Parts: sequence; C-alpha cells; structure tokens
Amino acid sequence: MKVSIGDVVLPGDYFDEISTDNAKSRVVIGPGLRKEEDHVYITKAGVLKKKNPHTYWIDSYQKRVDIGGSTTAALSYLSFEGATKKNRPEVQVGDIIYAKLVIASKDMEPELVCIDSFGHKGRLGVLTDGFVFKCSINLIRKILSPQCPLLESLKNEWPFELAAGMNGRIWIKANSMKETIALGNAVLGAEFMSQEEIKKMSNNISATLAGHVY
Amino acid sequence: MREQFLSNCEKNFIKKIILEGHRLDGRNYDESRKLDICFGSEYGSCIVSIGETKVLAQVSCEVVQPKQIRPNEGILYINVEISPMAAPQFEANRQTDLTVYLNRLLEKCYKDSKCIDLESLCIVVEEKVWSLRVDLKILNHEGNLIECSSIATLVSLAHFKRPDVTRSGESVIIHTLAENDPIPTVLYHYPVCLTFAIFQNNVLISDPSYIEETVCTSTTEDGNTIGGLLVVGMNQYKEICLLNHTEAAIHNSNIVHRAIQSAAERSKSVVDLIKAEIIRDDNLRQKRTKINFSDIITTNHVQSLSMKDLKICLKNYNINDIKMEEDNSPTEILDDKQDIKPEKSKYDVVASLPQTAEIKAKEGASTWIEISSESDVDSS
Repeated sequence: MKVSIGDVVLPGDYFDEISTDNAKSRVVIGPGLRKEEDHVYITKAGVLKKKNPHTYWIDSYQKRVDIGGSTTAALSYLSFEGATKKNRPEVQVGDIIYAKLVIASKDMEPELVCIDSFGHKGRLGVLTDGFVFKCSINLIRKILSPQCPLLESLKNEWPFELAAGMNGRIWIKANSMKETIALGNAVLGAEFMSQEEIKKMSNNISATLAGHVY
Repeated sequence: MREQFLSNCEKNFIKKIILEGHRLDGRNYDESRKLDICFGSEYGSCIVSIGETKVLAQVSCEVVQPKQIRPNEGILYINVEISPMAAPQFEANRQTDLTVYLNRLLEKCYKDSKCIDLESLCIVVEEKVWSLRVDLKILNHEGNLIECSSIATLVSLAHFKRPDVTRSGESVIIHTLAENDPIPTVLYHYPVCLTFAIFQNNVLISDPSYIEETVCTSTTEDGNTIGGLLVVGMNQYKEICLLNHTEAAIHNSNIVHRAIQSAAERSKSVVDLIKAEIIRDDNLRQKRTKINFSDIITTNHVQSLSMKDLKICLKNYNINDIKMEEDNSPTEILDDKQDIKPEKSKYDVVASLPQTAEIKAKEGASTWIEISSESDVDSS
C-alpha cells in the first residue's frame, strides 16, 4: 500500500515520495525504512515521520543504543520481561544494558532484546551500580572460555558479579569499591598470562585485598 | 564518530572511589603517571608521553619579516593538531574547541610569560627575523593533554637549534648545520602547565586520566558539574606563569593553594628531568650516536603492543611479583593447585549461565573476613 507522512505503516508498505520529490538532493532514511530498487519499503510497524530537509524514519516503541559498533542498535521497549504498551520498563539514558543481539546482518540495523525465546529475562536487563570498562575481545573470549581458571579461582576469594559482553565491555560489581577495583585489576591483568600465572595472580590480589602483601 | 558517552555506572563509581580515597589506576591523589621523553633524529623533535598520553612535537624555523610593532623580535607560533589517531571522536583537519583551547593556553604560557628570548632571534631589524613554529601532534589521548603538550612544547623548544647566520654588509648568509655549529634557543625559564582535577570542591587530583577528566567536567542529574579542571603554569623558580580554571566555580581558596604547592614540587622535578634528558641527548649526539624514534618501538616481544599500565589497578599490585615468584618456586605452584582443587567455594558464586557469574549470597554476615584469617595461615 502507498503511504504518506504521518500514517501508521506496516511492513511491506512502500513510500514513493522520497524517490520522486528529491531526485537530486541527499536523502537520509532512518530505521524501519529500506531501499529496494526504485521504491522505499517499510520494514517496521509504526508511524512514518519526516524531519526537514530530507530525513525519514519510522517512529516505534524503541530507543537506539550504542553497542560499540559502527552504528547504533535498536532496543524495543517491548523486548523486556513483562513489558506491555502501558507497562514500560525503566530504562534511562546512560544506563548499562546486558542484552543479546537478535539481528546482526550486514545491511540492517542490529536489534537487541532483553528476553530469551521463552519470554524470561534470565540475567539480561539493566545493570545497576558497579563499573564498566572496555577491553579487547580477545580477553572476553579468554575469560569466557571454560578452560580459563580466572573466574574459578576468583570466586573462592571474594563475592562478585560479572557480565562480559562480546562487544568488548565488561561490567563488574562487588560488595565494596576496593573489591570492585581488585576484580577489574584481575580481569585486565589476566590478558597475557598463562593459566598458572592467573591462579597465582588471583591469590596475590586477594592477599593484597586482605591487607598483607607477601 | 560521536564522543564516547559515559554511562551513569562509570560516573558514579569514579566519583565514589575518589571520595573514598582511591583512584582507578591505583595512584595516590598527588601521584602522576610516568613521564617519558624521547628525541627524534633532528633538533627540536621529540615525543613526550605521560602514561599512555603521547604528543609529538617538532620545531621548525624560517626567516620572515618581523611584525610592525615589534621590529626587533622574532616570532613564536604554536600549532596544535588533534587527529582521529588520538581518539576516534576527533575529525581530521577540523578545529575543535579542545584544539583552540589548547592552542590558546600554550600560547599564553610560552609567549606571554616571555620565557624565550625573542630578541635573539632578530637578524636584521625591521627586515629579517627568525620565526619559530612549534607543531604539536597528539598521538594518543588518555587524559591530561594540557600537561603533556606543554612539556612537549618546552622540550622541543629547549632541544631546538637554529642554523648560524653571518652578516656581511647587506647580504645575510645562513650556514648549513655542517658548516657552522647551530645555535640553541635561549630560554630564560622553563614554564610547565600542570593539570589538577577538583572533585566536589575539596579533593585535588594531579595528572587526571581521561575518565577522571570526563567525570570531573560532566554534569550531574541536577545540572551542576561535579568539579573542574585547574591548570597551573609554573617554572622551576616556583613562579606562576598561568592559572586557568574550567567548569564549576571554586568555593574554597585553600584548594588553589594546595594545587600551587603541589605544582611547585612537580614543576621542579619535571624541569630537572627535561634538562637532564637534553644534556644526555647532547652528549650522545657529540659521540655521533644515532638517535631516533625507533628506540621507543619494542621489538621481538609478543606483548610489545599491549599497554604497559593497567587501567584498573590496586595500589599495591605489581605484575612483576607474580612473574618472579613463578620462576623461583615451580614446586609451590603445584602445591597450590592441589590445594585449590578440593577446596569448596566459600560463596555460592556460580557460573550458571555461560556468560555470567552471580553471587547467591549466603545468609548472615559477610564471610570474607574469613579469607584473611585463612590466607594468613597459608602464607605463614
């Protein structure tokens, strides 16, 4: 179906105004729109919006989130556990979100969700307090590998929470500030260490934390 | 690319640890990162690094006509360039507020303090003077650009030597470096800009890192800024050459005094280091040793590209401790391994899902004091 600005649109509708009106000038098409030969098709349900001079997008219940990639990802308000149109999740600008990607293809905007396929949140969702730091993806893979002794040996030393994302970000939280710093130290320090060294290091750090250095 | 956005988690965490008396990288409040100076093959080129912040400076000179109002003075020109190499949010060939700010600050510090004898740069009054141009290129931005680029400017100016000139009647001959020994620039005093981050109007932090700088100048939810950056320009005689403050106003004059006191100590040590490095470089050059930037590239080392300092670090953590002990006592490690394996976790920290580890807190008081008593037994 042919639509115009301000309409409620559905995936599969097309929008001719862009290709005819502004043949010469530069047009920006935002999320939910996709150019397919001569037509611009709609790929998302929502309201078609335009911002002068030539920016078009589909407004729907979602925000765009920085995930450390070349573009931002879309995070829908409905992709949280128990979220409805009336009951929105509390997500503020500046929050850290532990989510997973459902779409990651070359031409489309990536999309995040905070629920699994059964509608449960599991561990996903907004992460409060703690600290986030960036590191190499190599390190993420290393600490997530079942052979890595880091988390195994650290969990005996002091309680903490840790979430490692494949976008090179690690979120950590422990009972005190000093323990959080110690955890960050252990994780970053483990990057170029062998398994034996990691074990040694985690003992060392917990000794430092307890106040006596040997 | 947009500027890296700082999450609320990071802001709150940094603010809290600083007010508790810690810093993210384990330094004390008045501790600076390691200062490194490296000279290039030509006079007046150097790379200065403070921690991971790196600035390349190059001085060049040419003969120009002097300004009308100062016919017997040479010209000093400072140019700062920040490329995407420094940090991804910068664009190539575009002036940002930061570039203008840095440029202005350095010109204030080095031109207005009259540390360079500009009259010695005069060749023929009203006709020919030397124009010195300092080009600064920011190679990596990890906080405290001001201090790093000011030291780079100072080092390159102090290291620079201009070609000798002889006048015979009307004509002026500029000798090449091979013909006549080049002439060093005359510096009356050595001013250095030192940066301090002020948190909550009472905590003073020297040499702030990128994240500390960003948190310090960012705004809180109620619209106020958390703190501000104070730049103190000071020479080795403890004379103030520049004072600059950005963001939140200072309510407390005491903090400026503390900053100046701290700056006095640091500026002396920095200037001493600069002088020592220049003398060392001079001696090497007289022995015809080849000096160039290749010295700072580490080769034959797997981790040569990895960062030397950890961004998050405990105060007493030392990476060499671990390695050394490893070498000395290989048998001990085996013992440790046997010890650890049968030991049951004192907490229910379970790697339940593949990407997470979570505390399932045991009931009652925190049991982590237990560790200290136990590890006490272990070590004794």
